[in-house]
Amino acid sequence: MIIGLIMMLQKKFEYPVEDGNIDFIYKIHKYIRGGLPDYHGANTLGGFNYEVDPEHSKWINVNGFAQDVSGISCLQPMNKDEVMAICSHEHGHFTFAGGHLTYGKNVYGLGAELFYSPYEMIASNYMYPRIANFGETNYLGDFSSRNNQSGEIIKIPISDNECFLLSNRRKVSDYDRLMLGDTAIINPNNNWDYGKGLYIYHVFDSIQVPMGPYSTPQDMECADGLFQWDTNGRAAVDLNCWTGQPDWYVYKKSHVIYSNDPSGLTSQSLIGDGLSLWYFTGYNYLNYPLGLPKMHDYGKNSHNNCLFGTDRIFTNDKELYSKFDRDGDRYDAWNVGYNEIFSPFSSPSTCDKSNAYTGIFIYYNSLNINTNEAAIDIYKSTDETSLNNILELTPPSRPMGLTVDTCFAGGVDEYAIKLEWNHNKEPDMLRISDEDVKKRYNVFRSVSVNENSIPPDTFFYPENKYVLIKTVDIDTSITPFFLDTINNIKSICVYLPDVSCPPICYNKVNIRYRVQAVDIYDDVSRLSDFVQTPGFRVDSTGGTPEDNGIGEMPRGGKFLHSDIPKEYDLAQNYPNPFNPVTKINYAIPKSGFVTLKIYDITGREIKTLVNELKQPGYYTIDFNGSELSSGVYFCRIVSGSFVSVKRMILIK
Amino acid sequence: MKSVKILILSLLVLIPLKINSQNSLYDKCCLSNYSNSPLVINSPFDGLYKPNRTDTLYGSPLPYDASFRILIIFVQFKDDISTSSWPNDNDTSGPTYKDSLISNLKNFNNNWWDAYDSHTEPISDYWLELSRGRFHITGSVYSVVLDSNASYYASLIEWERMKIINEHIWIKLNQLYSITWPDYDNWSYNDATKKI
Repeated sequence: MIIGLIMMLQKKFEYPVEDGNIDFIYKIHKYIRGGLPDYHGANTLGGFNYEVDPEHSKWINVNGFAQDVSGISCLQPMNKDEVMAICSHEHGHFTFAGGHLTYGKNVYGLGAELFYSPYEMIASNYMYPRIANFGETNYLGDFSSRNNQSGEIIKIPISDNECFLLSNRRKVSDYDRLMLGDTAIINPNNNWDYGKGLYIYHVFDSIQVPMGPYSTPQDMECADGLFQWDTNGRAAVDLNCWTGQPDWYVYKKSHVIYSNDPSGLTSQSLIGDGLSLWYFTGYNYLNYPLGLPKMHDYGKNSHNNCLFGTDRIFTNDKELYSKFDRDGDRYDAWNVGYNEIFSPFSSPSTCDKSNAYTGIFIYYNSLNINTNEAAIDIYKSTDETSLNNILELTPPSRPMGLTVDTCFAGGVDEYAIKLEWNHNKEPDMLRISDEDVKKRYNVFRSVSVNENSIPPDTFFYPENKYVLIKTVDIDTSITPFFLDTINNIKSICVYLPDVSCPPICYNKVNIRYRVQAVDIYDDVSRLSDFVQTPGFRVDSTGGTPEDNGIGEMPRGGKFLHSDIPKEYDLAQNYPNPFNPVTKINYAIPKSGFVTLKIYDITGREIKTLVNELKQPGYYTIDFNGSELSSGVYFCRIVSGSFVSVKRMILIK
Repeated sequence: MKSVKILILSLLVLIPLKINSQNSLYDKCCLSNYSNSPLVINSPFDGLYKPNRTDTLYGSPLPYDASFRILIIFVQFKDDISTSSWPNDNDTSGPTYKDSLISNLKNFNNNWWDAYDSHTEPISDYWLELSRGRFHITGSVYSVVLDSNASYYASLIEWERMKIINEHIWIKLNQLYSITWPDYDNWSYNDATKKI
């Protein structure tokens, strides 16, 4: 009987039934003045009850229980979009959540996110998730697509009360385009591609309605990784844009985290994996930086630093972040060609809220751009055998924590550019021999034309812009590192010899690096985030080099683990310039007589390095110029009808 | 008899608490599997303090023309600065986008994503898109310029200030417009906590 009574009382709304209260008013004040409260929205009209229609006994109610309140206040919207954002947020407090939650429409920030998150969609009975099929490719349409009333959400159970929710946000609906951070709001000519991708939400404690006033039910697992953030003092603020304070706190990533988000979400400091919201950040999302939106500092560039957002294509991942960079950016979505692996070994990882292993793998392996349908392989390992099978089917996660030391003291030269990164965690990265255990990585490089330009780069598939310069096998007992002594690139700190330009020119350039993990099945990861450093490109012209600013790049890495070459090749020697020893790689696809000789700039033969019959394969030979003077030399290979020449620079 | 009274009183106290704590899981996160069922009938959540759907309530279909009808009221103080997007031409002008916010009538287009115009009826369009076709919001838009400057209201004691501002708004609305107020009282909230 009690249950029946409760069920009856749960029918709380009735239509059409007059109750004497005006249902709902959006009261929109032009300005915050006249003693109006200094905020931009409130879930009340304020004041006292007022009988607005005595004849019909109709009241504007403001003092009753929430269900009796006749409306909301929206203050000082700058345009129609802000009316939408502020008022829909306040209205949401009546339809969904009295309080604020994380990563959704009813976050703090008055509508910075206009669309509901999957959590809110499910809780509101607007969408009905599908349970993931483990061990299969799961197809997921656009989150705001018009397919049917069920919507598009995949739920991956972790336990009775904990799960991941996947939404593939291709932003078919205009209302799904505004999101936190700069996921979709940076470019005034926005084509709305920013922020598109697969969003992975981690729901900790079931989906509940209504939310409490300080509810933090979900985290976002961000594709650009999970970091421990440390404060790093304050940085100047452009007062033309950011009035009120001359500087602002900045932050740095101190280390990569491979477990669950340790920061502890709170309602006012929502420090998630990457995308979250600081109190009062977001309401003014359309070019109106009155509150505390994103700012840019320490070399960060955007299209206009008076706008929101940081375009990290133009910035160095090692640089400091404003708190708003920390709060989120467009790289939080998972995308094919950017970051495709969310696993127990990635950062962030699929471990549960207690940091326990879940065995869940998510491999976002393709997107049909015509239908917006994502193909997502979802696995769950239950034992060692299934884990090994899954690892064989999935590539490694992309390496994390890449840093660059511009002036590392050591190496071939007095100073060298040194990279360091974190070892990948996947068990199938281990290459075990009798002597040691190593993991394999590819090192990629991209070089700018000059010091005032940025190296060729791209958000998706950067490997198409970068050049593979080396494959390295690194012992698991040490931190992975790489000293770039390859070809014609040098640290900005090297001693500049007394040479004239031409023929020997030290050109200041910007250099970017990314690394790639290679597992034992030769599956490769997506490239890591980049690091950037200034450096010298040494050549004989001092002008704009060919081939994207880097001339012909060495491909030393290719020689390490390929089989029979498909074509003849003479690679650029490295290092180059050199002093006095350099390596020369060449490839022979079929048996034949090979000569490889060195000539000076006058064409005089200096030395014969190879003059014999060679079997198909890759070869490396050292050339020692200790008895020669500084200058330009040529390396010439002949095998059958194949002839190739490379120019080398000896600097003593 | 005394124990019966206590039981009844206990029920009266506990039942509202139970209702307000419906937060305790109607969808245990990882257990429910709605598959692709088009609708969940008898949903225990049809809105928190106001309804969030106009198609059905508790499994029963609502009238064909059901909508959540709201009033949108733009308010200026007498001396608010005129802007290009919100001029002070007269009492009823309001912002330039005043008449391109919400649909006055419910639209019955079967394709809910095309039911309202996102440029001229964005509030109606937004809620219908968000709810995937379940929640129609319609309404009317009015604008008032109050007779006093902002400084007058700022000079009022704080507890009285919003009361006076709002009273002036409601009075001005009735002076300027013939609003049929009963048109905006269509929903009632019916449970033990209800006050009016």
